[in-house]
Amino acid sequence: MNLSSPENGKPDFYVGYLPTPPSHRRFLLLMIPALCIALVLVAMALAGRQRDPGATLVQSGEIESWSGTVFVDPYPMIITDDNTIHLVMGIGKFGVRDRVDEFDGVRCTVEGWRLMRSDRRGIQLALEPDAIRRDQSGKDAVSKPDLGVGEPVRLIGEIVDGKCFIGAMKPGDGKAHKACAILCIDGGLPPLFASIKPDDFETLPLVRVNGKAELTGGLLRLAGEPVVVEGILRSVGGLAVLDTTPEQVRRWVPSDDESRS
Amino acid sequence: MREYRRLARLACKGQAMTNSYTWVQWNSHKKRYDTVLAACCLLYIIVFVGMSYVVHQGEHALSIMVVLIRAFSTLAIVLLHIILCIGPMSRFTSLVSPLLYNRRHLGVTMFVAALIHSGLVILYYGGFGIRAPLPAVVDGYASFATISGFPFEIFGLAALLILFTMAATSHDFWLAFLSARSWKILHMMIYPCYGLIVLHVFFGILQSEQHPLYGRMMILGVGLVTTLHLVAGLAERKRDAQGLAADSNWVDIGEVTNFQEGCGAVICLRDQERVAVFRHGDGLSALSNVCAHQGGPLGEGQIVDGCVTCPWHGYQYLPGNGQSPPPYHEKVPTYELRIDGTRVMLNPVPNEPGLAVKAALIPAGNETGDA
Ligand code: FES
Repeated sequence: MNLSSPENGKPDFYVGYLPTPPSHRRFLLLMIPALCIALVLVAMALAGRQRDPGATLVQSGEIESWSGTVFVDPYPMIITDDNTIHLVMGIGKFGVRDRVDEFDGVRCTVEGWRLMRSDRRGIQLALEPDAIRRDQSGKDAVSKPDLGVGEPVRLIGEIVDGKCFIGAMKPGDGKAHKACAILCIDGGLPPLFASIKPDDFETLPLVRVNGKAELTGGLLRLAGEPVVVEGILRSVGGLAVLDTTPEQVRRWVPSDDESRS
Repeated sequence: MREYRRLARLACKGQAMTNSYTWVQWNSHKKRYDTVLAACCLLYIIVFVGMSYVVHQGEHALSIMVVLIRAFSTLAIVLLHIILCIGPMSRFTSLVSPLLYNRRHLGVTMFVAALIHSGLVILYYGGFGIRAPLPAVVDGYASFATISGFPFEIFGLAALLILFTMAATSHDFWLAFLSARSWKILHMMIYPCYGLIVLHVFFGILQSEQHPLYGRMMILGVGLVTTLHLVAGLAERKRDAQGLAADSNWVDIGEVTNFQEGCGAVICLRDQERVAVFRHGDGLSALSNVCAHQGGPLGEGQIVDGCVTCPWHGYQYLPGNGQSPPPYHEKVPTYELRIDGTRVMLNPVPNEPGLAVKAALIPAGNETGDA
């Protein structure tokens, strides 16, 4: 491009506080729209290739209430009259064990907001002190479901926190979410196992390590990244529990016999 | 910014001025630049957010905070690539001068985008839990031995600290306070910062977003920045290597007619700083090619209102003594020139910055270089 200005033969010279020379003006008039188009294309390309976080349902606004029998172990839950199991979780990244302990095996009314991902349902318990209270309907409490003997499994996937993954954050898994998953599980939210096999996603078993639905120490650090877990998978109704030990959970490596993809 | 050159320019015309620091000395170009920049950033964010909800709708919709975190992070990375490309591109064409002129505002904008990204990450992923948000994000776990467990947030935080330091010292007050050399070294930290951001992306989002486009675009960006820097750097090095040997008292730098009225010429001397030679009226004067502001190439500038004017931000120097016109204090070294017949001879030993040197007078009949 010829940068000489016709009047004096000197090349066009741009200085910010002087009038913009014609060649620079022409360049800017072309470059600014081109830049805008490039930005739009880049934004569309980057935003358009984000992975699907999965179908979840997150209720906000009006508080809903459920009645049924509350159990504290392996993780606080309520089994409602239609025999659906809802994990009960706190506001923020906190569990609710301290609030439900006294209601173990008792028929209660629970108020909060609904979370749902495939078969796994959750309730975010409202903050009001009476958001969980004894049910006055006079109906009997049901007995705790028997999980049975289960079957040995070897699964590849990710230990996720039950609240984010079933809808509180989308996506609620993966490397970017790892710190959050650790904080949630450490705060008392349920560790769930999200298998890489789409079929297993329906199950989302609760991870129970040495009998407790908690992760500690080195195991907690494995939350939010690909792992291989061996253990016993037990399930009844909508509840599934993956019983394992710290020794049976290890970081997934590419040489493992199943690929992640 | 300490935008006093315009005033200095007026000083050359004997007009009143001030050299005090202000937060930003706006001019119409800076206003337009910042307006376009803000509009582009807004456009990017709107398109990114909109597209995110076009692709995944209803029960599959991403959380708005996640979308914003990603929108601001990718905006910051796109801006950083533009910033890093402007420098080497200015070696190939002066057309990018308008982008270079206000590059600091681009840098500060990039820092703000990165800061918003980090703030949202710390609040969203680290907040509302049993630990303080920042430690929860950067110290929540660490397994340095594996890619999948590597705490990539540490790279991002380190990059943010560098960006903060650069944004906070971008004002010309700091340039004067730290000295141009130290300031330049500090601001070269943008390159380690870029490396940290690449690592942040590689160990972070590329581990969970597995569409190949992300990796490819990052490779494309790194490739573009690296190639432009290599090509520009090699061209400059070649120019220096082909420079004139400065082993005698006077170096022949060419015909008088090679020097165009009002324009600068860059003279490369082997193993020495480059020299900027200007023809102004009947005389030729030589100054260091290195602007006292941020090291811009004075020889690629022109004489504006009797002052040598730097092509980067318009700092000005009197050709006879290399001093900024009063009341400013910047000085660059001067050089002696003499004319032997039709040849221009340069004494390659630089004088003290600001030392007055008589212009080499061009004999009558050598006006071909006039415009
Ligand atoms: S005016 Fe900024 S480098 Fe010369």
